[in-house]
Amino acid sequence: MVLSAAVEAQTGLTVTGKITAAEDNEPLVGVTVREKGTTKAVVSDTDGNYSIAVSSGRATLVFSMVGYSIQEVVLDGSRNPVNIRLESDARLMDEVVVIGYGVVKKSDLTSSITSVKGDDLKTLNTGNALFSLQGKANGVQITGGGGPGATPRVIIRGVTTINGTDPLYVVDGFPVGGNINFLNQDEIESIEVLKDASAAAIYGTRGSNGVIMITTKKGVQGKTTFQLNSSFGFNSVRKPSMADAGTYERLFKERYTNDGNVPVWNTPENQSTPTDWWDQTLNNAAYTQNYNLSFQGGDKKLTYSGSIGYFGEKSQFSVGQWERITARFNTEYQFNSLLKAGLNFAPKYENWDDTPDLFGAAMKMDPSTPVLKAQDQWDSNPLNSYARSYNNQEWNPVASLSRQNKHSDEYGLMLIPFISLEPVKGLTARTQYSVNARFRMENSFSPRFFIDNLERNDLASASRKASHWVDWNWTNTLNYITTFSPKHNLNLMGGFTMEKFSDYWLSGSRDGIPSNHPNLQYVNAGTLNERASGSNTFTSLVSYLGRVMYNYDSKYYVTASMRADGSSKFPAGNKYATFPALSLAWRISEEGFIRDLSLFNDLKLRAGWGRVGNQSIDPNLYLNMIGASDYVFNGDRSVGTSISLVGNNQLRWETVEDYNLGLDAAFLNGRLNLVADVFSRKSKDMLMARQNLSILGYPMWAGEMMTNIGSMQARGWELSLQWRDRRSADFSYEAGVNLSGVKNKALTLVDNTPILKGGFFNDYIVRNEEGAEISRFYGYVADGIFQNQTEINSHTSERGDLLQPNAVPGDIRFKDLNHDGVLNDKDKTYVGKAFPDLMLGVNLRLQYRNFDLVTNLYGTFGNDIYHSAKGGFYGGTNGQNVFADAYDVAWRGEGSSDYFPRLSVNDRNLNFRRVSSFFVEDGSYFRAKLVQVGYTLPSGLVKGMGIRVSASAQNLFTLTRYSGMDPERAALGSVLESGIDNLGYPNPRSFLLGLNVNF
Amino acid sequence: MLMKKYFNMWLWSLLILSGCDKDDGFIDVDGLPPGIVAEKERIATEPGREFVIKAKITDKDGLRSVNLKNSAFHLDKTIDLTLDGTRHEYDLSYKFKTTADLQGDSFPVEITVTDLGGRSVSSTVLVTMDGDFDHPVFTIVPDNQITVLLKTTTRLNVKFTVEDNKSLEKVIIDIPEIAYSKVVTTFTHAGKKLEFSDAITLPSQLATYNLNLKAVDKAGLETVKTSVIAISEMPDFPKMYLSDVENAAQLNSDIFGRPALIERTAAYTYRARYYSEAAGTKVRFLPQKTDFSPISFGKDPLNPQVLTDDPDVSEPLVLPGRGYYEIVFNVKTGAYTVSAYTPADVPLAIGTPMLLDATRPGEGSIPLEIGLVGSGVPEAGNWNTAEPLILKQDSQNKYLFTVEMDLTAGSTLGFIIQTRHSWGWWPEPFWRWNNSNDPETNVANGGENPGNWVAKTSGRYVFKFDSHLKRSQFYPKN
Repeated sequence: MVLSAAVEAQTGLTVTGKITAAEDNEPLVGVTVREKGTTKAVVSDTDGNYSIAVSSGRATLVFSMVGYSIQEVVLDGSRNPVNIRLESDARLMDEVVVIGYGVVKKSDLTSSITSVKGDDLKTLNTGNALFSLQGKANGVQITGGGGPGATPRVIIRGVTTINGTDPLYVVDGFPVGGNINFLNQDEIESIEVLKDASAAAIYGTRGSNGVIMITTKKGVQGKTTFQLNSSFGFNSVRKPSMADAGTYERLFKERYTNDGNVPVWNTPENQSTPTDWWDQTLNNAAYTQNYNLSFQGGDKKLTYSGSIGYFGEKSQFSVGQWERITARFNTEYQFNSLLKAGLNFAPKYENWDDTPDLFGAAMKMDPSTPVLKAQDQWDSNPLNSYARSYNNQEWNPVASLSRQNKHSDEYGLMLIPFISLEPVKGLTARTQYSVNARFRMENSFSPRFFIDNLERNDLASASRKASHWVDWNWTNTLNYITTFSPKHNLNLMGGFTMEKFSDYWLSGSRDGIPSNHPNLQYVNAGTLNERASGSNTFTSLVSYLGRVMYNYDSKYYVTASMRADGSSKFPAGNKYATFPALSLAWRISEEGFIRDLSLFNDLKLRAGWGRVGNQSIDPNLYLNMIGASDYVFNGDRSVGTSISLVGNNQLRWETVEDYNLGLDAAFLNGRLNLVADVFSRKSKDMLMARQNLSILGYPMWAGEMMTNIGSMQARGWELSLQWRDRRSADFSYEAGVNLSGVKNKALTLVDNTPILKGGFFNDYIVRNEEGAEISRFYGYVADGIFQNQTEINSHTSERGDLLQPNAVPGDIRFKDLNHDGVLNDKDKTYVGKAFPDLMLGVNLRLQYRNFDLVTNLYGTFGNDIYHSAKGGFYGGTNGQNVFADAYDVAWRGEGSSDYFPRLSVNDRNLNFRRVSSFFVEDGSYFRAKLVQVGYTLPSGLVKGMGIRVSASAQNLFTLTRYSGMDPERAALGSVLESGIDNLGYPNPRSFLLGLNVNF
Repeated sequence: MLMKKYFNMWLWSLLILSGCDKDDGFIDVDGLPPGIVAEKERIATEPGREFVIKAKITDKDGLRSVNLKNSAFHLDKTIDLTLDGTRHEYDLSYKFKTTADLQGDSFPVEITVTDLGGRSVSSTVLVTMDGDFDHPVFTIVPDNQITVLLKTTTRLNVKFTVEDNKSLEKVIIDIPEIAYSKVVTTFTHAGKKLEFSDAITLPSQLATYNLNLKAVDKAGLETVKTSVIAISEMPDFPKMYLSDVENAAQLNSDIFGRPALIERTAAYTYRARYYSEAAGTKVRFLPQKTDFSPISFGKDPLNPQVLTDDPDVSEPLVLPGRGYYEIVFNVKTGAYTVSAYTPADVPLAIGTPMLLDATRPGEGSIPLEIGLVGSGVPEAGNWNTAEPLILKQDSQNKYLFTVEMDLTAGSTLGFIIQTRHSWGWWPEPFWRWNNSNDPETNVANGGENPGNWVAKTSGRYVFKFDSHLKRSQFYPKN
């Protein structure tokens, strides 16, 4: 700080001055000048000048601005004006970002990596931290549903393989599986997403779907601080508006009468009590709670941190829940200037009851049927007391709920010890041996019951499965960082890793348990069909890796890496492969000609290239295998063996080649940040099942061999804008917008044969073909409704052949696209697509005095959903219940509807049974994922404590035109058949209260 | 200014010249309207019948569209002729089927042709409903082979019914060998129907004759049926049938199974096994399938201990209770016995668990059910064992299975009896047929697949299957 003059200060004095940036002496506009301990504050003008009336000549002024270090100046009564030079905040520009096997300053990044801090994640109450990442990590498509223990689908920068899209998850340098439900998000310090190959190639064979690196909180020097985070609330699922018994009956009967048939209506005339199956099956509120106590502290020798957390969530049904207790203790001890050691110790316990999949049944069940039979029909088995649907084949969902009985317990321990040695300055050797062991036991019981001949189980059975997984990883790295002459900066890393993944399981079951009594719900109680099975699976990986990072004067950057992986999943000769990457960056803002513009605080151009691999395949695909197989000879069962898998001894890696071009920029004294990327990713040697020659004589079930055939491509773009500003001492805000788009295309498939997915009445919904975008719906084009016989008679070939001979007025007209006068498969076309054109995340954070507001909004645009249940919910197919408005919107005379067809039991025109655009709806949505209002109690109120209370609403509203339950849940599915709504568990709306205490 | 003036002139000239063109760039060749030459200006048809409008259409400028219109037909079809480039000729050949309930005699169909120059011309084809296309139909007709027993006075009861949808002209009954010929020109039902019944006396000697029936309608369409009459001593009939119905119409309205085939155990000897659904059921035995004439074995009223063959004399056997009966008789001696019995075979355990995969019990089970699997079966899948039309086991007789269905006249169907399987497998037991087109017995776990059976009338049908007798019946309920 430089004081340019001395002035006399006295009470009521106005202090003035000019604020400039230390790096270039340019005036700074918008700097907040606040008198400490008061509410007085002003903001500097466009010339950097300020003027503030202070209450005392000994007052303390606080100068603050985003991107710059805060300065405090104690007035000594002799200085006015008080001119200030603010230093840029190195924490922002030189924030440390975790990369594979190392860390770098954010300003030195040459590849595409998104970093999200733990504080931005923990605002959302969720069992899986990835849900918190939605909309915050640009280019990462996170799609999920609801329910206890739900795991989202994560796709980073599009799809380049059909063999799994899960990225690699790395926790504190330890690659773990494809699910991070075991992580308490309060334990997370940061999440880094390695999006392009130049960043992910250091993970070689597992990097093709991107890498998500999670760093847990570590100890910090200083006194021990504690944090208590808690939230409690409830989830609710929007109740669909289903028809009542009267509407259902009218619609049910009209389906028959419209076809000239007599309705087969089985509801007894004296049955007068209708049933609201949704209310009977689901609860209005399902409780969720999250508690976490953590602490950090340490001194120069020892730093430590720890946390203990509980998360619990109920399903909307009376069964189905998930509980998780986690703990994590991270310690590091600096023995001397050479040697440091540490240990991450993380035990956990989870238990859950399976959540039933009964949303569809609760919606389809006949509302004229009571829950229970008449009491005189009850017997000693209470499970027999439930009523059978009078008018359709749906099983009684309340009865199904009462029989649900599957419970699982899982125990786990993750240990990550390490030793780090720095024999000479800049050279660090580190060895880390990590172990992740889990044990799970699943018990299930299927009771005996008889409701009806078609709704029964004659043999009660019990099963148990015990699984354990033991994974270990030994990582050894050598890192050297130096600067020479004096603008050359070099960072070298070399390493060697070994990993093994082991999976053991044993299961057994028996049928014929004599009773449903709880004391008999064990395998030993069974009297029939003893079954036992079990297996071990091992995979291993050995890797050599290296990386060179060099920059000249923090202007010109080059990073090159190489990883050689050897995997047990591939045959001899193909076990090893190398994955190189190269990235360049030019920090243009360090050039004088840019600096003179005084426009950019940072401007960097990045370009990257790399190759990454995918080994997410079964570990035995190169082996020929035989398995148990039974034959029937002369009517008797004979135990034998047969070929179960035809292996490919030429199997090799899938490889993805990735190009990325990016731009990072910061403007307006760092208040506005921009990150833009374009990328292209293309896979080759994608593994696909190819039919063996029939002449080889392999049995039908082993008639395919996995072969490196396919190729896919994902091309897209990302744009992130982040605005941060502090308008005054009392008011600051941040706003971020993330926009991205990606097109996923299949380039090469097996024998140029389209992959057809999504069964629908002996047809398929999704067609994936070479050279075209994947997961598109392929069907007939519904062209309105035949309003009268004349329209039907006009829908002919030019020779007069009726295109839809079974149609009557009120049926859907389908287009004869190729004008050949016949309505057949050749008239099908692409009528929708599952993947969006645009993904949008909007994140807002406001702070005014002690109040704060956090809002996360997320949406996708341009995607469609195949609402396959629509025929049932509007047409009452198979006698199921329908939407409340189904009867009213159905075609009933000329001009009554040009969209919804007439009601028909025979549906001879296949209105509801033909894959068509009638079922395709716009799946775009924009959702308020989180709206949270917080209030921090004044610091003096409770001595030594910071207390914040908050109220949150998750999934508060969703803007969409989709008529199903949840457009996000409906968009799920495997990459080749996404976007088909199967009535899965929707994302619930949640209301929560939170309490955070720091002391 | 001069330049601007010339530029404006040029611009206006361009605008005016361009305005002379058609908006789509079309240029007339002859500027004449299209030509239409209809192949027939009057087409005779009938309600519910398809007809074809044919015309030769030409236009040198190129054709744009053809429109056919008649409001009573609900016809307003426009054929776009521009889809495959410019066409100067078009052979219109447009078929159309009127509804069967169409009211009215004649209907003008207006054909309007428009060329690329926008010129239209219309022509009318008159469609009249006075066409006759259906031959007379013998709804009840003597069997192809008729056996008449040689007696002192040998008579043949000739019974048949013939109908025509419009009007019959004449029906000729002719037996050339005995110079018998009769022409009938008087008909009932407004001239549409003849129910003929006449006893023709034949020479009492062993011989063979041809009975020719010819029906001719007023449009000249004719139908001929021929039967061979064999005058014989009591023959050793290769097949014998049991009838439990009261009249010949019921014998002929079935899809199959009426009368029911019984067993020939020895020369002239037959054994009928039958389930009597109620006390008092009446049965008779026929060597022919379509009528009770000329031979119908029943109790001789003068000597109830034996059977007689004369349909006008014999009386049905009356079964005294519900249950299975065995009736053994000899057509030569007339001796017969009637005895009740209990089947020894085990009925199907409908509803008991059936493993989905017998080799993998862990896959679970479903209750055993049988049903009709095939094509055209109402409320059932198409050859899908997961979606059969379930047969309901009779509560009184575990061997008897029944299901009812609605069929429309002319609809075709075919099925087998098959165990239901959720995955669409084809487990045993199943029953196919001894004969595809005219099944008489069921074959367990074998046999022929069904033919395309046709429902003769619309309405409710009953299908019955007896797993003990391995016989099925499929007939209208009422």
